[in-house]
Amino acid sequence: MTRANRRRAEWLMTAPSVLWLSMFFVIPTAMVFVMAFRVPDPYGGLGKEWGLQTIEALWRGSYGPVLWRTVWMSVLATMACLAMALPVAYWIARLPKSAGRWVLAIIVVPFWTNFLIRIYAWKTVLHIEGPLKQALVTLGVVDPSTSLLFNSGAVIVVLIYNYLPFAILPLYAAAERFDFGLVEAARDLGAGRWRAMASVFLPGISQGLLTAFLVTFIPMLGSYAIPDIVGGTSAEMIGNKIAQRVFSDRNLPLASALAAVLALLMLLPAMGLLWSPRSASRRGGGRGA
Amino acid sequence: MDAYFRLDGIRKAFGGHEAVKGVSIDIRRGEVFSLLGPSGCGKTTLLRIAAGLEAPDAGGVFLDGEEITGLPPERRRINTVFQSYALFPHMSVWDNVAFGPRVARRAEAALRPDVGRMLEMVGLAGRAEARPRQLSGGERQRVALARALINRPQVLLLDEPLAALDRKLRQRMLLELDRIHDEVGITFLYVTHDQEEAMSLSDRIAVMNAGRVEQIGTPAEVYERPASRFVAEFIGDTNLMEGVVLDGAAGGVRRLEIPGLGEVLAARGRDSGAGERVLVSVRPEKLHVSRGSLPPGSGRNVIRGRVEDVSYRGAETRYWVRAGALRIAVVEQNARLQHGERPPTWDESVWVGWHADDAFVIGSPAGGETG
Repeated sequence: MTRANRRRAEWLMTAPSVLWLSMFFVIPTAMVFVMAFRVPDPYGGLGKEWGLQTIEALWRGSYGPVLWRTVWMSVLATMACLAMALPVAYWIARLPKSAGRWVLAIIVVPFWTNFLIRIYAWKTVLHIEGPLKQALVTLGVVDPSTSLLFNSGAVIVVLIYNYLPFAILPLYAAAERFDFGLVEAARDLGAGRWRAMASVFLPGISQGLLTAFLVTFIPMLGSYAIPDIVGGTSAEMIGNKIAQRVFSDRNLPLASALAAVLALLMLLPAMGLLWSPRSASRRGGGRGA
Repeated sequence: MDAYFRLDGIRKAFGGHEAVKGVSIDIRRGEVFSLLGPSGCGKTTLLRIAAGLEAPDAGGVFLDGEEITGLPPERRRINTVFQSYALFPHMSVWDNVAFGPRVARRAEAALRPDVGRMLEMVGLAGRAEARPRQLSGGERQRVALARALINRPQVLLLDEPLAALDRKLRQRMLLELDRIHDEVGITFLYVTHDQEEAMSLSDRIAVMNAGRVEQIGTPAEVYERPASRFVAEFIGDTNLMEGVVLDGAAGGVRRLEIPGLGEVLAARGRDSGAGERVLVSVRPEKLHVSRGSLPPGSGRNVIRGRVEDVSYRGAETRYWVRAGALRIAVVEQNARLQHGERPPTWDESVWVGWHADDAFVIGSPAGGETG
């Protein structure tokens, strides 16, 4: 086969996936970005003209605090997820294979229940007269007048609950492939339990950590239902703002602009992590033994 | 004889299976001591107990007079070269070797010359920046060695360190290990299933089988004077002949009746009384095969047989000779044949001879209970 022929074959083989990605990812994303530069028409549709009105509205609309809250709540919830998922993944990976599968199943099965039902369940749990509140009042931990619901705390708790399995699964996959002989070697060389974990186990599952971070942090940034149901106005996230622009104001360009901002927010850290020199060199060299 | 590193009455079971059934070993300071046995004999479990990676169910581990049974691995001055090497894949060769000193909080400036010297000793000074996956098997093995030795352990444990290497490299690394042992003078506890490795490297060997020690001795002792049928068969090849003792003068030459062969003399091994059923072990290289009759002499055994198989191996030739119900293995060095003699070939009738001094009585045919 000549070089040109091979090139053509490569193109033919990648064409379907390129086509798929452009149809369902690149074009819609580009449309969202483009729509931000249209003007809304009075009936809630898109006007014919182009303009920078929505970009100005972005600045005037004081989305800064909401954006900031979205980011810090997501960062906090992601970190909590990783911190909780790490020991769980480690533990499952050390279990005998069959026992590990059972534990994984137990973790995943509750998530067959509808997403909204699970969030409403939390609303019941955290309710002013709910079981958790009553228990905490009885124990004297909280004042009877405090509310566990409709604040950023409630949103973070439910975010953690909802995304924890998504952090456990990639970490487990990485830990399961990890050679625990390396931890023994580190201990043998004088490292204590925690030192061995930090210097050998964590670097060994770094790809899993990265995946777990991305698959929890990115959807959290775009959360809409969770802050809508348990958050209230003081804990709104950017997803709620986008929904309000679409459903209440019928201002599609502004909704698009906000969505574009969110997309950029997600894209930048993901790109930064994926194209960092370290992970690039690892990709080039393949996985270590 | 001072015991520097002592394993005392070690027992260990895994889920009902007893891997180590009461093993006691005394290792002297500076010696190379091997645990030799087939896979599953408990040698690796014993090594892991010595390292602190496994806790014994019973028994104690003592190092330089102190009990260390309960100490975690990081608090023992014992380092291990693992069978898979267990090099840290995300670290360079340099960082792998520097791991121990860094964990011990030694200053970078202080540990740098040490790491350099270690890499030089194992011949990897030029590969300091390489990652483990870029190294060959032999290079990885040497990194593992340097990484363990830099901590100046009191005992170095080696778990089948050459098993992953090809034959040529294995022999070179054996010499290398020997040189390094002479250089550092550290006590080595070496685990292997390869008797050649154990023989050529060790000062003493413990031959293990099914969780027990069958015999402890120098390589020559375990080879020349096997304490049990298992040892005789596991270390090298041997001819085992079952017979009955006719007269058992203690310490002297014993006369035995071997069915199909007749009377045979054996000068060494276990004392046994007349009428006792025993096994006699004769190493193939102690036997001679000849087409002409072998010169008789005092203490010589000579039997008649027929060559069943001949296998030419370059330096030596192996013969299998049928004599009665026995199939006897003979190894002859292919030195220059004298007086125009022609070596025996297939299906020829031959004489097989050996000296009573090379016949070793190892106990009852049932094996095991050799005392």
